[in-house]
Amino acid sequence: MSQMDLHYKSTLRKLHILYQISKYVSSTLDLPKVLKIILTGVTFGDGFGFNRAYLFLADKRGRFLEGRMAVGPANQQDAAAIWQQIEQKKISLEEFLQVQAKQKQEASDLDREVQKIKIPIHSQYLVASAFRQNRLENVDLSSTESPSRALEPQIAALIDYPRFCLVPMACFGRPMGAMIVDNKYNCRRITDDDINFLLMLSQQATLAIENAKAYHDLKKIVRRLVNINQKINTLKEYNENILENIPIGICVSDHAYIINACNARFCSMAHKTRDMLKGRLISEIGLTIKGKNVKRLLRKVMHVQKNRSFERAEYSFGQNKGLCNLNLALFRKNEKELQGIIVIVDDITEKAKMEETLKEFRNLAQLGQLAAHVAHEIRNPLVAIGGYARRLEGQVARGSPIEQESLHIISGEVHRLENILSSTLQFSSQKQVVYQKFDLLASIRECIQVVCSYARDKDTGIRLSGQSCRGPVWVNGSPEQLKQALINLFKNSIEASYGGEAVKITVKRSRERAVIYIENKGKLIEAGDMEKIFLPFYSTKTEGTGLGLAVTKKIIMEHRGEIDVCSKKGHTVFTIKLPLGGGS
Amino acid sequence: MKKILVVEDDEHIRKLYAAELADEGYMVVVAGDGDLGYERYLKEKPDLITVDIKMERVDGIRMMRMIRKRDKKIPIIIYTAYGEYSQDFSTWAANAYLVKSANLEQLKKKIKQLLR
Repeated sequence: MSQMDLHYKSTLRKLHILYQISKYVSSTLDLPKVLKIILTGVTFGDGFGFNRAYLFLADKRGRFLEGRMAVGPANQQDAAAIWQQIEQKKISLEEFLQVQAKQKQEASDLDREVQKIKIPIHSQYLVASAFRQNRLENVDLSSTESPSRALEPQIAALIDYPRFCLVPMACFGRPMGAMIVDNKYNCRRITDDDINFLLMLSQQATLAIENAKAYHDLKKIVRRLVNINQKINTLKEYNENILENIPIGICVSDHAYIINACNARFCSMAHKTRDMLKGRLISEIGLTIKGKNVKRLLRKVMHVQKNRSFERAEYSFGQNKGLCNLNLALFRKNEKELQGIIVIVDDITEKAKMEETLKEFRNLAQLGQLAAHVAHEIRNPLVAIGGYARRLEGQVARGSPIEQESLHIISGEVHRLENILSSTLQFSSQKQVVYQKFDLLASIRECIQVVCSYARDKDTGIRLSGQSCRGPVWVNGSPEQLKQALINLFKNSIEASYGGEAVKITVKRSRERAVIYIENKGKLIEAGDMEKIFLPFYSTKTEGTGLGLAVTKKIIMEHRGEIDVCSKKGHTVFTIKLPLGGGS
Repeated sequence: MKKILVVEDDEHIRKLYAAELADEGYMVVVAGDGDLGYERYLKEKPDLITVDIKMERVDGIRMMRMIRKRDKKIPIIIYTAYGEYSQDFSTWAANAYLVKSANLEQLKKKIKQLLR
């Protein structure tokens, strides 16, 4: 074989090695693996066959060259052993690279040594300047021709061999690292041919390293983006949850008053699903405010660019009806740009009712205190007047009917006044209800019994309707107080009935409440009197204390119940609703 | 003849009770406040006491407490314009609690019952 053939053959083999290295390098994006494959290719006997190879990469800030990896035997014996092993096993570079590409990389002693090295890039030493200038240096410290610059002492100590080749690695003209190779153990000289291939390899290696680095950076960025995305999603969910859980109806529209978004409360107020509301005009979803035109209000807010709010506005929306605080707020993107309008509907019907009740209670409490004081002051003189009148009545001679009658009237009136005092005191007492569970139906039967003879005296009757529910109706409360409330109401209905028309009592049980209807045919309650009949001392009758219905209402309210009256065409119905106790 | 001590600060009412109860055949002694009532109790040794709660100076409750320290058995009737104190435990030492009325029948009935 001619010298030329040998040369071609060697060149071909080296090109093949280059191809294999580049193939395996491109099979991974893991930087340590890439580095390992390159250095292995450089040192493998079947490859370029250098004894040792060191790799240095510039740090991120471009201030230092840092030792990253090294491949080669630690000493002469080690070298001999490794070569023998490879020779025996007949491992090809391809097989070796295959293993390297898959294996997990572990740092060798040589790796650890090289990783301690950190050379300032801007120094005047040999490796640093060659790196900066992207210059290949084939160094022979033993020759008489000394190199242009002194070698970094760290490197000299690491290599501890006079002949080596420094191959710069640059990507698009930007220096990024350097490779040092030598033949310490077989002392083979580094030829020009070697250098040419090293330069080619350096190109390949640089690209692969850059790729791996870029991939690594990209991975980091992607991870960061994923984190940010997660945070944004969490924040978005958090904000949406706040809006969803707020017990106030909120809806957002664009410039044209078309709904873009709304929360759950708004949907439930409108009795429509979100999909049914989205894309519709606010003015056409059934929201009405008494005395206002919603469409015009929205336009005005947009036109004047000023938020508006209405307190205790009477509204109706879907099946909701009552009082609300309405806010129309501009939805701004920034100071200059308007995105639309936000409609906030806060239903305050229950709150208003409670405030009203509280007010009523306060008034009643004040009135009660005054009434109690007066009642106590009056009782003593009354007892004296009545007591003496009764005493005289017994002493006046039988033949003095006028005196007897007069005294009888005094006693009778005193008796009536005493009753008024008792009712007043009872009405004004602030006793807490002592709750116990009892059967309301049984109590109602007892009450009917109590007032039965009273009804007969008035030429009417009272009966429990057959439509009433059966079995016990358990409620929590004071049976005595509730009985008194019912007796007052029953008597009242009896008094208002026309002769012969019995009062009808019906008891029903709903899911949460017991409902009692007290129906009578008789005197109509005028519309103007309807609200007043429960007020103390408001009575259309000439007899009685004027406190009966007020006491009834107070007792019912203390039991967290409701009482209402409806009177039409000679037909009056009182309705009492009481919360059911457990077990009904 | 049974002796009844009436402790009541309203003079008219006091006289009325005295007359009415005398008519019923009781011997009646009277006192205008709790302090005097206690003195009368010690001196007269009545069989039964009726007492108002709210009185000037020493009230009925305090007098009752003083008497109960010496005598756990003597019947005491609270006869007052204040119905609401019947719930108050300080009145529970009495044998009966009645709300004042021009009609004394209830009081007379209770006295008869307690003296039986």
